Amino acid sequence: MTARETGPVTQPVGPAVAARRRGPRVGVVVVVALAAVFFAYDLYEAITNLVLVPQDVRYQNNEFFDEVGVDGLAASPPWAALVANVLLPVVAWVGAVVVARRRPLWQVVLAFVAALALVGSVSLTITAYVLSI
Amino acid sequence: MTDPSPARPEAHKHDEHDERDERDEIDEHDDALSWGDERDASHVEGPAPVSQIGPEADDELPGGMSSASLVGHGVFGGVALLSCVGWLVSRDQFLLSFGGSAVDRVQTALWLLGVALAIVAPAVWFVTTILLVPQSRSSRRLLVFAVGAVALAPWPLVIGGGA
Repeated sequence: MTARETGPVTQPVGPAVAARRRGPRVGVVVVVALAAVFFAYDLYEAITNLVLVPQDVRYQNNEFFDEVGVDGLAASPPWAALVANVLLPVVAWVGAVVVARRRPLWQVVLAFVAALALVGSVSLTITAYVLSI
Repeated sequence: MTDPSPARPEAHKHDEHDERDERDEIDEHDDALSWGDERDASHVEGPAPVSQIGPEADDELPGGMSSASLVGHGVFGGVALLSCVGWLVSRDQFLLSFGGSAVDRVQTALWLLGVALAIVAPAVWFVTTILLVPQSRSSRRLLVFAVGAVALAPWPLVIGGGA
């Protein structure tokens, strides 16, 4: 077989193949979007906690404690934990997107499931911490 | 001191003869137990020994994983399983229900999905790390294992707060 018969090494790429190589595949987009819904719910929970926990009654009497001179009873909301809980789903989703780049679909799914499990686990840890102090 | 008996030298000669015979016999046994070398007519050159394949071959098992990495996999796999058990034990403090309306039911379902994922998270992280981080990057794999072991430990068991 001659080189002419086998054709050139770099074959011309059709428009459909080129488009598939340029953009992400449909399956990956669906998985990423579906995962985003679940991560969005985690984000919603975290924002709800960020708003509602500081309104808890135990954080409302600080001015009174200050006036009567018992500063030791004053308590401040666990801002660091609440903010970390808000950042967690966003960071995990972006991390999963970075890890899932240029991988087969099943690995993309696995990356997002692992990231979602991480968010679920760490969120419960943060919840337990906020309620324990 | 007395001289040895006249029969002694003869006996000594006998002994020497016996010893030589015995040595010949032993040599034959040794030959049977050895594989021979290049000078042997039946010698066939086999593949190079494993230890000569590469510079790190001494440290590598036939599967391509170093023994330290293998031990790391075992340790972190055990930690992941124990963490799953820890989450399973502490699940009761997180089993919530938000109410009866449709929206509340969706919220409850999503919350319980989160709890279920938290229970299996250590095992999922372990398996995902093995499948997504190539075996050749064993140090990165062990690092990801370690991050998972710390982040996904059943901390609510230690902290004690309930939802």
